[in-house]
Amino acid sequence: MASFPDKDWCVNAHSRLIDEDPTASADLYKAIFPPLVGWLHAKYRAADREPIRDAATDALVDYIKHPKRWDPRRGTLISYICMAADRDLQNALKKLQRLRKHELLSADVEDEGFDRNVLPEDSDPSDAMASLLPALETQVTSERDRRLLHLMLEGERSTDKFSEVLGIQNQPKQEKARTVKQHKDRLKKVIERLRAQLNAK
Amino acid sequence: MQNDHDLSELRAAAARLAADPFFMAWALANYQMELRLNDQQLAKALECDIDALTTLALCRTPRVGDEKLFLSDVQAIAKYVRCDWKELAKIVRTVQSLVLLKRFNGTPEVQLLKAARDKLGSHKNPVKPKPRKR
Repeated sequence: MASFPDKDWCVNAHSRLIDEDPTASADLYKAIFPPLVGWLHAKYRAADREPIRDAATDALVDYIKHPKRWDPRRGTLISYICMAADRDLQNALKKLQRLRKHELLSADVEDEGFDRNVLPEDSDPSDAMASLLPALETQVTSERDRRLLHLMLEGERSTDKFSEVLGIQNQPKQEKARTVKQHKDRLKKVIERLRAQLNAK
Repeated sequence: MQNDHDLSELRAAAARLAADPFFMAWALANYQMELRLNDQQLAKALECDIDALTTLALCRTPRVGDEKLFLSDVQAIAKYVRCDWKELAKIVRTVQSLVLLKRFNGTPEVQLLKAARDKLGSHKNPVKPKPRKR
């Protein structure tokens, strides 16, 4: 993995940015972007490459356009940029996770062919999610069902993970798949029922 | 010294900046799109190698409001990426003009674009366009 430039190099590049040297941005990009992407990738192994690049780009571009926001007395330039990229990536990943949860709930219900799964045109899907999730919390009281629901919301597809929660990991493969499907279908119906109730309000 | 992986990361980074007028990536992308040039043709026009285009894209766009500052920026960039500063100045000026035209007319003047293509073609591309059939 490429390494970050040292403190003196950064101070010099910073001075060039302040002096409006048009080539300073390229030097900063070449020296910082590859190690920054590598560092974020190492920290968030499961994350896709694209949000990592986006976060690294946003952090660097923000610094290049507003170099005076960095206060050298409060830390090194590299820590300043890394912190900004880290924060951006965390926000992006949270947003992605929320989107995936929403898509999953919609997809689960749509797969079953329920025609009540149509939100009113003027309603915001995020509002629907915001009211659906607490309703699910109150409706699903069994700890086992909550764990199953949690797996579904995370987009988990592995039958083994669901089997562990159900305590049927030692059953034959086909049996496990059938039991897991039954429980998932049951929970999908709970979701759909709640959604229909919320839409009716 | 950048390795291949770093270069590909930098190319991806430069592509992300194509929508940001602060960076030369924006000027190059617009120029390539309007004149329908690929990287090879652009590098040839600028008399630099293709990898230098990535470095060029990461530079700040020259300040266009003041002629002295513009020239000083263009020459600093050209020296840094080792390309022809006159061609670089022409590219930035052309893109600025096209942006202005788009702002006032909605779309750029077809004739101006055609003239720019013809001029570029006569200098850099030995293949003459086929005459139109009437």
